Parts: sequence; structure tokens; C-alpha cells
Amino acid sequence: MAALSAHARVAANRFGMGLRPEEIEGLSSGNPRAWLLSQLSSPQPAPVSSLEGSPIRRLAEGEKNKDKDAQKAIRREIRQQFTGMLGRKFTHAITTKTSFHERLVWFWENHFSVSTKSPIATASIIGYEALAIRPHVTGKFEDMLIAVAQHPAMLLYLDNTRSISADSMAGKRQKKGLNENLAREILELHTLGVEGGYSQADVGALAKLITGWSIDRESGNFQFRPLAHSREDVTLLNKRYSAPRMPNVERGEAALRDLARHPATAQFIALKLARHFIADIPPESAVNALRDAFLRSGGDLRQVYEALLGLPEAWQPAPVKLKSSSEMIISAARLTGVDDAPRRYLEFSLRELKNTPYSALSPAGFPDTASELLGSDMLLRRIQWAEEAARMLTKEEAPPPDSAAYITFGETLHPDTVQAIANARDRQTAYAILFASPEFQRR
Amino acid sequence: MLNRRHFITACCAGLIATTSPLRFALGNTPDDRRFVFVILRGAMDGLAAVPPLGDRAYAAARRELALDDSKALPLDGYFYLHPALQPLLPLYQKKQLAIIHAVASPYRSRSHFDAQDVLENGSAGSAKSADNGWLGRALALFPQDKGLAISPALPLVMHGAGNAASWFPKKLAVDGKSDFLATMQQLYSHDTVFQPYLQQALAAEATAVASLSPEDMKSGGNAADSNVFPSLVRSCATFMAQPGGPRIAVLESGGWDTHARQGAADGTLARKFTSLADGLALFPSLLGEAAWKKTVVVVATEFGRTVNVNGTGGTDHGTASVSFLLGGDIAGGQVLADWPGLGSNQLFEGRDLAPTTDLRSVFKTVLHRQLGIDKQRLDNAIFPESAQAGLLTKLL
Repeated sequence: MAALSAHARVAANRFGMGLRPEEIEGLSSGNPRAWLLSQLSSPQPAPVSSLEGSPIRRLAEGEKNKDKDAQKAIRREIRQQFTGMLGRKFTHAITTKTSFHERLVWFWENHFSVSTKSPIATASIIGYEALAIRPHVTGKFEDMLIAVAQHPAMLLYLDNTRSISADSMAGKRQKKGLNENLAREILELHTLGVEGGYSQADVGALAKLITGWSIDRESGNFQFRPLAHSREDVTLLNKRYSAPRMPNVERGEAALRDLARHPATAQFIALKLARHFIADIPPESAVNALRDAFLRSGGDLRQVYEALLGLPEAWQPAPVKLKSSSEMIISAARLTGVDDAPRRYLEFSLRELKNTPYSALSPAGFPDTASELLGSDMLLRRIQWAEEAARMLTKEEAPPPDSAAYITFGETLHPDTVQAIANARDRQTAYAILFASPEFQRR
Repeated sequence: MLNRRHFITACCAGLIATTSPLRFALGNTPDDRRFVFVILRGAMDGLAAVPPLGDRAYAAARRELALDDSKALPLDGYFYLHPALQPLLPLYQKKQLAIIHAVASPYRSRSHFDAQDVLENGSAGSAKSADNGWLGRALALFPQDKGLAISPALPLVMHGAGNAASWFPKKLAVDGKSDFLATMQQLYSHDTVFQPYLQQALAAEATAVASLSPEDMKSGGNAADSNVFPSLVRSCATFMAQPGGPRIAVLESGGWDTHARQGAADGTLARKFTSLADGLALFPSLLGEAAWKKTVVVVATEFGRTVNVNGTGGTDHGTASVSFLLGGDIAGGQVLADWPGLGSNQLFEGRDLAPTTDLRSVFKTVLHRQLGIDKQRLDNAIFPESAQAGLLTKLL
């Protein structure tokens, strides 16, 4: 079979999550850009994960009754549900026919990164992607921002659930105060970016505007607590948000919508998208084009992606981005055509490549540049992983490794890689070489 | 309120060395002085680690997080040590631990990520101004030496030298003689990024196999796991103790971002202190007396935390914190601080411990002492535009 065209290769590997054998035909005959665009209109539905059996309520009961055994059992149950969700998440990424759309889901989930720092936070993450991220990936950025900022996973992760405005009813009574963690990261990591021109006063202001955004300890769902909400006028980025007649959630939402439409937000989102799809240090012209598309469309993400696909810089035939560990795990499984994420493969890969979703060490999420992703130790891990991955993934149905390599990489394959795959003593070793090759580790 | 002046910084009192007697010519004879940099990521609360019980504003400012002298360990009568850092007290008493308080990098905003970049890139305050780190630039002056980061990926501070490797415990054993590795060496030979990394990785792995215990080889986890740090210290010290081992090393410990329920004498932060102190206290015995005398360990974090407790029993992002300096032959047993005070009118921007010492001064002093890098080079090349951050003569 012929190698894919340079454009088809970029579509499958840089924009998508790695070529699957079934995609070869469509990509060889059709227009790669149209192939990607069609994914945005009709993404393959993903299995929906949601928290089952109200463990959050039972966790609170167990705490109240000081029942250690019950708490332990509930924590185990939460862990199991979480692992189940991770398995479905990877299986979908490995098998989906719309992997460009799926990459965008992963991109945004990393932009709005949350981590498992307590049992209740872990429980709340189970439905995070399905509720806060996926529905908005081709919609308006501001809708995703609000869905995220009101999702229990984010409220718990960045400590907003107990943040109380000192001037509120609860603040006066309990002498409690703000926790500015979520507000700061909304400004710095989710919207304006660290150079977006906000001050410490703005951090405090936004923290006040989202006071009362909390969770219901029974159901684990979002709950607005009017008694904790600020009753004062609040000024954020020189705009006044007047004291509400009755404390309400709309005031904070209005502030988030204003942040979402801010030019600094457009600039920051454009930079992150360009860094993800074009280069670690993307050309300014590309960033500006994406920024303009964002501003023109009022943050309509689909129009931003369309602009991205129209940029010649994004179609550089040579692989320019080092794959992250998750991308390695997903793309290797896709190439061999497996129909789910084998449990042992996932466990092993996530442990050794240190990239388990929802375990990033900071709210900035996992890094997206080669210099941050790599070190001598990490490279050796990738080689070790490649050998094991080949052993766990290469079944009889997997395409012959030499033609898989040729179709996927075409003339960008180095002659040494071709030679090494041809000389491999068996199919499994050939796949191991392919997975560890410099070509496969980039996209 | 009277501030206690432990020492006066640069411009005021001329305590800073203005001349730089070079102990060793650069790149000259092999040197066995060593330097370990420990990065605490997430902003460690310096007022919790080394509480100033002598400051009359302390107890009121810290409310439920304040310690009293029934729990805190006395250092010099003014400053105390958090009880969970007890393993460090004997080092302080032996003058092998110095503490620098109210210290901060030149970064003055409150983003973890930019602050860590500045801590590592050694710039005058910009996260963007470098894609390599001050330790990498220093290491590049000694191409015959080796640097090692105990971390899967190479941290920014070590970027910039060709002789910096990273190593981290892993579950799978590495067979350095396998055919597969030989094939990959061949495939990587024309990849300028992968080729040197693979060579360094194989060298580090060979040392690990020859010298580390099986437990430490595999004790993985991630750097934020409180209990992992001592094991990482064991690995680090063992690497350094090998003949031809790294002279410069970096260790990381994460998870210091205590926004909620950080606890006072016990709790989340106390557990992290225990692990940190247990780990740091291992260095003298692991390196042995002779090597410990030639080693300096510097512990620093990207910024401190608010003086006041927030609404959730924790502290938010602040400015100044503490730095620890450990070594077998240092001017230890002292807390160096141009103490700014904790009164509400003494705080930086009304909320943080005010920075009075530049962290770069600490780093430069140690690089000067341990690596013999002259002041001119430190001021301009290793830490660009840093001449005003002078050397701390009291530490020399």
C-alpha cells in the first residue's frame, strides 16, 4: 500500500491522536482538511462516565459517624469507579473515528487541569469531562469556562468550596474569609494568562465574585451558597460589578463572560493552541491569526479550529512536536488497531510514563513542550515502555510493522529506522523499534 | 516596634564582598567540592518552617497556625524551628545548618509557574528571559564534571549544559547490554536531542545498578508524595559518592501549596516537613564525613505564603520565605535575616512577609564557594544583571 500524503499524515498524527489502520483508505482518497472539519460537526459520541451510588453523601456520613471501615470501603469504591472511567477514556481515544475532536477534548481538559487530591475530589472528577469539557469543545469558550468553574471537581481542587467573603452574612458570623486559589488560577491559567494585565486586587475581586460557588455535601453537585457571597460592589479589571440586591450566581458568571471575551484571553488561548499544534515556540503570525479568529467570533472555538486548519504553518510535513506520554500510549495502541485499552497495558504505561490524567502536579496541567517533557531518564523510560508496549499490543491482527511504518511516515522515515525494522528478529521487536523510534515519538 | 537586625544587606553596611578571591581557576584541576540544589515546588510556608516567635506581631498574625514555645524548637531565641523539622536541629547545633529568612527571588508576582521559572532561570525577574537555568550555565563551565537531577524530566534549572543527566527510580530493570538498546543507540545517533540523553541515561542507570539498594531503585511515586523524598536523597547522595559521580545535583519535592487546612504543629504541612527533614538529615552519613565537609545543600522555594491565615485554614500565595543551607563546613548555626517584621504596616503589599534578601545572593555565594566561579561571571553570565545581589560574606 502507498504511503499517506504529507497532508494526510499530519491530519492523522498531529491533529488526530495517531493513525488507525481503518483510517488509511479514507485519508488516501479524501481531502485531509475536510476529514478533520467533518469531525468537528459530527464527533463520535463518547461513553459517558458519571459518579454512581452517591459515595460523596456516604463519605460525609462515614466521617460524621467516625466509621473508619465504611470510609475505607467508600474510598475503594471511588477509586474503582475512577479507574473504570480512565479505562473508558483511553479506550475511546484509542478507538474513536474522530480523533481530532478527541485531541481537542484532551487539550481542553489539560487547560482546565484538575487532580485527585482527596477522595471527594476524585469522586467529583469522574463526571468532569462529560459535563464540563466535552459539551463545549466546539462551542463557546465562555460556556466551557463557566461549566468548569462551577464543576465540583474544579471547586474542590482549587479550594473554592469554603471560600467566604468577609462582608457576607456567613463571613461576619464566622469570621471566615476568602480563599483566592481558584480566582487566581482562573485569571492566570484559564483566561488572561500571567501577562494578561491583572493585579493582586483583581485576584481578590474575582475571588469575591465567586464566593458561595460551592458544592452540596449530600449530592456532590454544584451549589450556590448565598450566605457566603459578597454583598459589596466589586471592581474587576476596572469594571464595577454592583452589589446584588440578593446574592446570586449571575454576578460571577457575568465576570467570567467578560474575562472570556477579553483580548488577553484570546491571545493566551491562541498561544496555547499554536504551541500544541504548530511548534513549541510557534510563529507570531500564527498566534495572531488564531487570536483574531477568537476575537472575531466571540470565542467560538469551532471557528478558531477552522482558522488553525487554514494556517500553512500547521501543515509542516516534518514532525515538529514531541508526543506527550499519553499521546505515545494512545497512538501506539491506535496503530496496532486494538479495540480497547488493555488493562495491563494502561496500568504499566501510566505508571512508567508518569502521565496519568488528573495527576498533574500543578493546576497548569501537564507540560506541552519537548524541553519540559524530556530528560535522559524520561527518554530511557520511553524506550523501556516501547518494548513492553509492543509485547502487550502486537496481536495477529496488527498490520505488518514495516508497512505500518511506511504508510504512517512515508519518506520522513530515516533509512536506519527502515533497516532496523526490516532486520528485527520478529514482529514484536519490529513494533518495539517503531514505537521507540525518533519518528514515532514526534508528531 | 523594633525590628531585630540579624544582618544588614549589601548597600547599607558593606558586609558584601566586593572583591572576589578566586579559589580555583576555572576548569583547572579536578575539584571535589559538591553542590546540591533542592527545589520545593508549590511555595513552602517559611513562617511555618522557621516561625519568628520573638516577633510580637507573630501570634496575632498567624492565629490558628501560630506555634508557641511549648511546640516550636528554639534556634536563637528569636527564631524557632517547626517541631516536624526536628531532625535538622542537631545540624543547626553543629553549625552545619544556616537559615536565611525573609528571602525571595527577584520575582514579585504570585504565579507559581512564573516564579518557578525565575527561581530556575536565574533571570532578574522575567519568566520568559531564558530557556536555560543558572545551574546549567554554571555546569557548562565544567565540561569534565557531571550534573544530575533526580527527576524523570530535566528541570529548567539544569538546562543549558550538555553534561546534565536526569535519573528517577523505575520499576523495570534496564539491561544496558540488550540488543534493543543497541538498536536504539544506532537509531538515535542522528537525533541531536535523543542521542546525548540516551548516553547519559545509560551511564546513570549503570551507576544506579551498581550502587543503589533495590528499594531505592524502584521507589518511584511522584515528587509530591510526602514519603518519597528520603529515598530520593539516598539515591542522590549515593550517586554523588561514586568515584567520578556528579558534583552538582538537583532534587525536587512538590506539593507545598497549602491553601487549605495546612495545620500547625501537626497536619498536612507538618507531614511534609517530616519527610523533608528526614531526607536532608541523611546527607552527612550517606556522603561520609570527608565528602560532607565539601558539600553544600541549598533548599529554596519559589515564594512564600501570606502572613495571615486565609478563610480555609491555609495560606495563599505570598512573597518571602526561608532558604536552608546545609553542609559539613559552612558558617552554620545562625539565622540570617534582615527581619522586616510582621506588623501589618511592615508587610509587603499589606499581606506578605517582605523580602529583604535576594535568593540569588544565596545561590551566588554558594556557587562562588563551591565551584570557585568569580563574581564578575556570577553577576553577568550565571545570573544576568544581578550585580546588586551581592555575596553573603557571613556565609562564606
